[in-house]
Amino acid sequence: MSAPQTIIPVSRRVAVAYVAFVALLAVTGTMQMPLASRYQIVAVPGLAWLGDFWLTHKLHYVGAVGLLTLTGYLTTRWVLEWRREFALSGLGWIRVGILVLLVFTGAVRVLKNLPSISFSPTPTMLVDWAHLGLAFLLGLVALGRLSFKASYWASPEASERQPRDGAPIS
Amino acid sequence: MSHDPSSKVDISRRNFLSSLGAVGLGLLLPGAANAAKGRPDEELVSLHDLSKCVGCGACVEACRTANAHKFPEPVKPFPAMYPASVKVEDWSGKRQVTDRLTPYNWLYIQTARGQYQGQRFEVHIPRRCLHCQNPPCANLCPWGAAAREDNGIVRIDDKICLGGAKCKTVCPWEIPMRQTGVGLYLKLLPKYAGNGVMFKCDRCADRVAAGKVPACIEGCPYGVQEFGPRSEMVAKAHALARNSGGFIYGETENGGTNSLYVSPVPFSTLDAAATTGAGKPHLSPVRDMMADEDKLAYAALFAPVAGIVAGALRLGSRLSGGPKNPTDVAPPRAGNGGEDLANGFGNGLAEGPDAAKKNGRDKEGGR
Repeated sequence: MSAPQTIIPVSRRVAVAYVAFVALLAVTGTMQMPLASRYQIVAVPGLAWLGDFWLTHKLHYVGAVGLLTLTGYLTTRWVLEWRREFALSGLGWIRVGILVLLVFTGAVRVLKNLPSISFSPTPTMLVDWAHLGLAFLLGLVALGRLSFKASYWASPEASERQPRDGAPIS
Repeated sequence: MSHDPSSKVDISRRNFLSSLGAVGLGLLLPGAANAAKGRPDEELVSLHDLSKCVGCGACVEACRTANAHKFPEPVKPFPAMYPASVKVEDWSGKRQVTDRLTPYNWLYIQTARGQYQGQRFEVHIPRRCLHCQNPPCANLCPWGAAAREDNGIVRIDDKICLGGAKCKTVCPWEIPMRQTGVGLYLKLLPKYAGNGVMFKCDRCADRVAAGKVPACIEGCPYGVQEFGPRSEMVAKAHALARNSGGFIYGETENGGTNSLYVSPVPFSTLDAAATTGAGKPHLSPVRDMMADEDKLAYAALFAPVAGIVAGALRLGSRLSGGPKNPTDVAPPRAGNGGEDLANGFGNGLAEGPDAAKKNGRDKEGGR
């Protein structure tokens, strides 16, 4: 029996790139906390680099550059080409909202790290906590989508989730 | 360690980045960025004329007295920490230590003895946090506990610091010192996260806020230090170095610090002669630790623009009948089935048992 197809407007290459950038950001972001040394993650063969704060910090920037480029590209294409046929579901909009806030709080942190720019400690702390919380929330949304077989897309086809033979954006 | 001839270029780059940041944040967080409206006051710099320092320790005593109310009073016994390899750092029983930096001693006198140009020298160097202009401790603290203030002071908030010691790891001089058994971590997950609070010189932030000078400056009987706006202190440091044939440390180290040292002996010689190590910072040259991040900030700034341009060019290419994907053979027809939709957009991805064969999996645009 042929199962129904789920159509999304994103190629597999772009979908994989999105997942890769988010994964890179999640790992390097988490490792900004001093966990790798305390919990001996650095002792695991091949993971010693996770204990290098400078390396993970730079990789976090690199991941952000990649995600921002992809976000600009997909947003443009969605607005100009896809928005009618591929409307976002409520969950899709929630994800967009989280991503927007993540980008905003991340951008504030990047600005704060520039020379000669100072923010007072309390807003800095709140931005840090918000960035961390939003990243956690994005993970929860992705987990929830998988658990409840929900979709980021409003189209009927997209709501019928099938085995991940073709990788969707997720 | 002396004047960097490239500083002019660097300042231009920094000013540009600052302007971008100021505009961006002015839109996002009004009032949060002092640079948004132009900094009315310069950062404050302490200038040390090491030729005047006799190593009497009066500054150390003044610092300890003025900041005694900020020193940690740990709760004992310390909570057990997991894993067991996590070490307690307890200086509460060694408060009298003054020959290195500790949570109870934020300033100490480092002494270097040796020979320079055939003459014996003994140089005493008051050592504490240098208060970097772009401090890694504040930039990389994941918890927002460390921050640089408008006046150039870099502070660690002992109310929210968890004592992870990342600030010490990323500090080029490993200045902050940890005391276990104090701080916020005790109220969160003391067994699994945090290990106390990091302490270092806050350059007497409370005194400076009240219009006074740091206690170490006031307590020095020999006038080793001067305190004032950065441009003025940098000019004085250069004049002093020029007139005495001396050397400057701190002006360009780590991209610039708000502590300047002028010595009659090269700092490389002092560094080789002085005792350095845990709690005893070096005097070596330090590159700008945040330089790579500054460059990546440019990339992050232009990344969304590049993405938007790429998306628009992709559409333009399709509309102008330029190079098409193999799948770009039919316009999208609503309700005509998923496959047609995917083909019509030239980039759709069909999911499902048969879809993988129909889509080129590794190509933007389908097959």
